Amino acid sequence: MIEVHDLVKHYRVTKREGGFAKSLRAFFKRQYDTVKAVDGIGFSIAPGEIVGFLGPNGAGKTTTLKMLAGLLHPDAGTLSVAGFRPQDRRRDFLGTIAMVLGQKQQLIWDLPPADTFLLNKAIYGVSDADYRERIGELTEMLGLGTLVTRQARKLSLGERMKCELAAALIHGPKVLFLDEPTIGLDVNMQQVLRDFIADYNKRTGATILLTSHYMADVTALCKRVIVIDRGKLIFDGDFAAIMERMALDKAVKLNFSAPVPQARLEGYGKVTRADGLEAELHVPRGSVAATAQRMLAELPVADIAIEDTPIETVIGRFMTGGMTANTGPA
Amino acid sequence: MNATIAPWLRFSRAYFRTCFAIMLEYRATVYLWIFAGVTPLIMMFVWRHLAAAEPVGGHDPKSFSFYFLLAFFSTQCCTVWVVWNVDHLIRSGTYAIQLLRPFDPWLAEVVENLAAYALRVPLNLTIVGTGLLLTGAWDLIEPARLPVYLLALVLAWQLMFNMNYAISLLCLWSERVKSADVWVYTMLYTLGGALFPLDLLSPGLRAAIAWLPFPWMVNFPVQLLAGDAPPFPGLAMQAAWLAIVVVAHRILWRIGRKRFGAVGG
Repeated sequence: MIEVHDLVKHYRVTKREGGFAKSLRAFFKRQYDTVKAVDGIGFSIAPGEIVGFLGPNGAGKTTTLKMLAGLLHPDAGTLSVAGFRPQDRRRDFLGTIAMVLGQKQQLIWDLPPADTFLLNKAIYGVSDADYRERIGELTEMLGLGTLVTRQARKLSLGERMKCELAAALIHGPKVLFLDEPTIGLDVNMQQVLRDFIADYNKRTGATILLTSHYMADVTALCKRVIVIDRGKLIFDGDFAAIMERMALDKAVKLNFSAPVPQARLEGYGKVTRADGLEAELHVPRGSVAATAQRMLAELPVADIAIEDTPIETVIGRFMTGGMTANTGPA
Repeated sequence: MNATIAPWLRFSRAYFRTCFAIMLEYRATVYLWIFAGVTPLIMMFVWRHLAAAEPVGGHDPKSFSFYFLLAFFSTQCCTVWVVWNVDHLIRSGTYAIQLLRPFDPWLAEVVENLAAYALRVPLNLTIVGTGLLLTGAWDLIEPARLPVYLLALVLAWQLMFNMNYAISLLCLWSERVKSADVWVYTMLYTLGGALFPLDLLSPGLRAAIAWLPFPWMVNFPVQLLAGDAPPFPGLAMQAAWLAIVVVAHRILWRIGRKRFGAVGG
């Protein structure tokens, strides 16, 4: 469904140091840097797959997604999505894909989402019968209810994102690019959207390429991940393999009812923060339940939270931990 | 219906309804924009006063009233905000949303402009009609010229719109072109004839600026309606300039899209 070979996108950006004199100099003589946003990556994705596209900020994830959606022209390399060259922006291609940008919205700010849905119906030439059926499905799956009749600007971030997804899916795209779809949402809303994406993939067989900074998104949705850093592909394979190797511990966050010295915590795990009434420790995944029980019994714990290792930390370890490109764990 | 045209019409109808609904939400702003463009009406009072004792350049107060009321209508028809729109869309990163639609973003801008006219033109016509009645300039209209005057107005709008659209596409290179918009409107008001009738200029200067697009957008339609200018070569000049700016924005679109950096991550 998606084929990418030796994809390259470089940007020329102006550079200037701060200060009045530097501004004046830059006015007469501009200096430029070349940013290698994407630098020769390649992968292929089969129909119906959900793939997590991971990497630190500035790794080139969004640039790649935008090239796959036909928004950006590649400098070199070849791309094929559903048999089309995305940058040609053929009508059939644009009717086959959808892209949801977590930090940009297609909902019309001043009107209810229902108006955006109707506009998209006209844009993609969806028949009345198909429209009714899809809206019915999306309303049920996303729990849209009366949200669609309220002005978009009056909706909460989570409610807007539900409507964004519905608007993007009115035409039944076969390929879905999701760029940080859960960013900024509360935990419950993240879960709602995750369930929806998994369900949509199951029902329609759509191919989904997803970027996210939340480990829970990737864990819940993606068997396979592609990791890039500074424009280069550094891993393409089973997500469980990364987790097995790199997410070896969990973060335990504690609030105490009375101050606890750091020395008293060191027997439970690696202490990353301790300031009397609050502390954070990293505990091996296999023993986290038992360690938490011990802490609750032995320490004046007022509150405890156990969290996955942040995705950036896993990838950071991964990049210094000896994984090899394209082949998975070394 | 032709299979190529049908999707364009379907989108245009739906987008027009959407844009009109948005304009209704912001109707106060739309009407304020009309009153921000009353310079020709102010100039009408200035020139009427100057011509009170004796005609200036062959214009008496009634003739100046006719000229500036119609010049006001021309400038209103030529008021487009496509440069601001595209500049904003590109700088905010939301141009990507337009590009994901299976239509040229040009069409969306045209339809949005038309939706604004649907709200503005009735008020414009009320102002101009009332002005013509109050000043007695109504009878200077050549009724037989109305159809060709409307054609000239549509061409003037399209010329201004497409010129601005071509300028807006420079955003794909510089990411900020709003100042060019100011330049275009300065030229429209001065060289177009919204501040003074162009026949007050010397013949040499008039001949020189006749090669520019601006006189054909304001001065020409007014003179056409008054029967003071023949339809040709004015309509031909409008069509020629329109062809030039359309070709320009097609070339800019083709080259610029490859350079588009999709601002905002």
